[in-house]
Amino acid sequence: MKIGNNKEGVRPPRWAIAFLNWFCPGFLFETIEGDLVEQFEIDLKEVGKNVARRRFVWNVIRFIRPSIILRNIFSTDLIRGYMLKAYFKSAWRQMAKNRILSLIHVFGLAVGIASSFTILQYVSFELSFDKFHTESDDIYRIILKQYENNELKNTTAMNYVGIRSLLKDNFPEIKKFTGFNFLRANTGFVFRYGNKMYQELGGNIWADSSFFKVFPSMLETGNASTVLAHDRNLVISQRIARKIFGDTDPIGQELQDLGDLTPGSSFIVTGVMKNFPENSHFHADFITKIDRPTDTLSEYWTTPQMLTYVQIPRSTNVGSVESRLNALIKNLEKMYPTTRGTQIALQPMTDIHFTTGIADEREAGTSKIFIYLMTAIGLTILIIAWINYVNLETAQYLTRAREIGIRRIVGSSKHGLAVQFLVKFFFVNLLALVVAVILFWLSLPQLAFVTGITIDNIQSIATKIGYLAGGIFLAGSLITGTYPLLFLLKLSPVLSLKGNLGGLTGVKKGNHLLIIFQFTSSIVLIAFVLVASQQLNFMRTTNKKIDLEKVIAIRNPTAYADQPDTEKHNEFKVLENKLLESPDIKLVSSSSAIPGAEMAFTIVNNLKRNAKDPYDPTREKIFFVDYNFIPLYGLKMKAGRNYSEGNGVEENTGRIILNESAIHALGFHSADEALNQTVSLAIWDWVKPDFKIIGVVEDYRHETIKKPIFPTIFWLNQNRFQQVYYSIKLNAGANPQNALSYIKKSWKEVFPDRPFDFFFIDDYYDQQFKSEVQFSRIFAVFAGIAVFLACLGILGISLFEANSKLKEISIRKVLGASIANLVSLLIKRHFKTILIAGALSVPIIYVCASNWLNSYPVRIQITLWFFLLPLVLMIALVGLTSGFQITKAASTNPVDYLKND
Amino acid sequence: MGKEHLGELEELILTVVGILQDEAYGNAIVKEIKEQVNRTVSLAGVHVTLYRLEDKGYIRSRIGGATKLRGGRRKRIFTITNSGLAVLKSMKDDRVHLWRLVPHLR
Repeated sequence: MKIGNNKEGVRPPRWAIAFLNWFCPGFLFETIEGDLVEQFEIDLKEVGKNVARRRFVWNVIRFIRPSIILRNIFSTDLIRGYMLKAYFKSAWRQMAKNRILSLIHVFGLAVGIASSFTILQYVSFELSFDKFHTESDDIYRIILKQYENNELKNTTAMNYVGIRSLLKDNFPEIKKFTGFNFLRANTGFVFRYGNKMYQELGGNIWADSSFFKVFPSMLETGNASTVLAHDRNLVISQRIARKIFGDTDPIGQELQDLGDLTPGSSFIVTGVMKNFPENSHFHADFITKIDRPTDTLSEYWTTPQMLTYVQIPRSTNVGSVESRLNALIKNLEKMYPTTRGTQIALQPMTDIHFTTGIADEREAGTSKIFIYLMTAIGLTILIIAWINYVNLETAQYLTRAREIGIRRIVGSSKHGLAVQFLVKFFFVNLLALVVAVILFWLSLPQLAFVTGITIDNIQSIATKIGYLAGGIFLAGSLITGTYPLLFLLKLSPVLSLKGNLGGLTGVKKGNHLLIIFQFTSSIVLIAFVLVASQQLNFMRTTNKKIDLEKVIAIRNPTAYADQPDTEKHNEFKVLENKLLESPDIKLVSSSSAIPGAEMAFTIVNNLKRNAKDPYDPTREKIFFVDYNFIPLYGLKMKAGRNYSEGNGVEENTGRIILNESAIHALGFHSADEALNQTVSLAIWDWVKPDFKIIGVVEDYRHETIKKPIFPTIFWLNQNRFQQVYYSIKLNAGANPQNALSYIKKSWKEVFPDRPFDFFFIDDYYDQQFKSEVQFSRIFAVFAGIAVFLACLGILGISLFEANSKLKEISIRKVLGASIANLVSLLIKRHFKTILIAGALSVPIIYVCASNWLNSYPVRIQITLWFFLLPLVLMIALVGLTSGFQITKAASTNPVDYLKND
Repeated sequence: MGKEHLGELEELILTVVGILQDEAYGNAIVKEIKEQVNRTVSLAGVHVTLYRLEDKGYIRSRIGGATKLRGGRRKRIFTITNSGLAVLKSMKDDRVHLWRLVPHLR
């Protein structure tokens, strides 16, 4: 529009006006704009066009103030800056007046917030697995699915060696892929540098030259394309570099190989890589390139033995790659019948940590359900804390109704009161936040111990915690503020002056519901803890049919060393004899595998009734034992006998012992039927067609009860094939520590330069339950917190109720009620609430517990106990917390309180 | 229900509103202050103070006429209320009383 007398039509900048329009409340805009424009006109005459325009913009900007912008949202009463200070003071005084109550408020909230921090840390850590690799979203692992008769029999992380050549020949768009495997699943990397022999257990990977093309971010020193270019190139981790070489540059140094792969030759360090972080699904300290001249074309498609990872460029469709690969594999069936029934799938690398059910997985992951559960618990705890706060606040208003009434009448508007209370909430929330952060930092070490989450990872999510903290603070303040606010506004001032609080029943009901929620969640959590620990206990103690008590195992690192077999055997015998001299030691045995870990050697189609039998895809395990293994571990023979030294050397004379599952896999119906039958066993390159079954071992749990029992072959071996573990059984009365020092001494005498790597078998076996243990611990901790908060809430309310009902209590006392009567009267209401909560919790517990338990092959039954015990516990706790307060109140002198009337 | 005491700017603007009677609005107040006590105040500051004074009940406002100078936009005109006059008077009395007690100002 035309502005004033301005003949040239000079106007103030239009964008400035538009900007003003944007932030200025509607009813103020016109008049403010008018004033600004008038000023502009005056300026035009005084200082000219440019300065006038500048001044206009500047003036607009100066209107950006809270008192202008917020004038719409809050009514005029609120923006009294000077009042804010008074509100803060009043909030502070209120809190100081009721110290205990305030403490409960703040502490309860703080605990709730700190819990959510912890859970956030845990969840965030788990979700971050493997994301540290560059382009982690595009990296896939090629897993193998084995079908028999169109039924999926097995999914394995391992794949055929030949997959990579398929990729190379048929997928020009895919440039980055690698295959690798872990060497020596059961012992570490054994080598010599300088005069020292090392046995490193941190993961030893044998890879092709492209490893660092797929995982470039791991490489610290060295060129990703060439660092593994030649045979015997070795890349070590920073940790190892520091340990072995100190400050010297490791590049170019030689490590002498003490394994038996290619004995005597050395590895040359060509690169250093970062340490694999906690949140990686695999870890390694060494990566080497080893040429395999023995890889014939046929080997490419027999046993799956390589983990294969591929980076698929964004532009390529993953599904089509998968189907093309599967089509190619199908074409191989004729030439390589071992590939029949196999399909591949492309598994996103970031999913690996959350997927279960895949065989040959090096490290166990976790399930997404657990993550969701944890998040739910965190939220629940937070809500419980907030509910506490809200309940306590509204309860407090009931006493302050008089004060509120007076304020209202004298003229403080509704909104003024609202602001006052909002201020108080911000204050309390802020305080709680600070306390929460302190609590969190203090409790970190303990938490890490209990839950197994490491502290290092906290740094990485500090920013996320900051966001969450801000979010919780805002949300908390809003939520805990508006709820009481809503009811506040309904208070009729006149009535409340008289002490009559009509219209509040709605709120009381609301509070009631909230308390029910608190109790229900507490009961459910307690029940979960019970179920989890029972299931865990069951799995641990259920009859494994193997005796693991008082067995010490030693890992002999040079089992693979290049030594003549007789020499190795003699060394072992010397050790064995030394050990048996001690009265503490009962038996000694050597074997290639021990209970508590998956056996490394899986064979397929190697054990058959007749060598000419058709292809059998059953996966079977084979491991190597000596004469003492079976008796040492108390394994029972279902039929036949153990290998016996008395019968002369029985190895290689065609005798074999199998377990029940192996018997069944061969088609025998019973152990007796299988006894003395002959079977064909192929091991590596030679096939022995006539092994006689001299014994059948009763199936036992070599691994945890969570895993199926494999058909197992016990091959007698005297320190030949990978006798890595020595098991030592102690006598019943032996003191383990004494025995241990004797063993160590003996070891040092026989193997002076070898590290003494020992552990107790029962601990080792128990480690398989690590995730369940962790789970139940975490649950226990947070269930405890939830219950604690719920009780805190009850404490607060009863503290409060006792005070407010003093008059009523006094009257009743005067009228003759006994303390017991009074206490029971006041507690009755709480009990009813708990019972309702208990009833509500039943279906929740039942459904959740059933689902979780169903994921285990063996499980406990859900009994009534799981529902009753939490209920009883809650009743006891609530009774205690509220009863105490009420008793105290009930025992006061009634006269004191009736005086004022 | 506000404080009895006004800030310095509030007092100044309230007084000017009293002076200008029916003509008190943003630009006029700025101009009057400049003329009377040779002081430059910003339009935004004046507006904000006016609203505050209005909240406290010392002045009231109404929407007034539009002029060509303002491109047809109306103005908000403020007038002083009784309570505003009362507070001005009480402040004046206090000031005068105190100044009389200063020896050099007698």
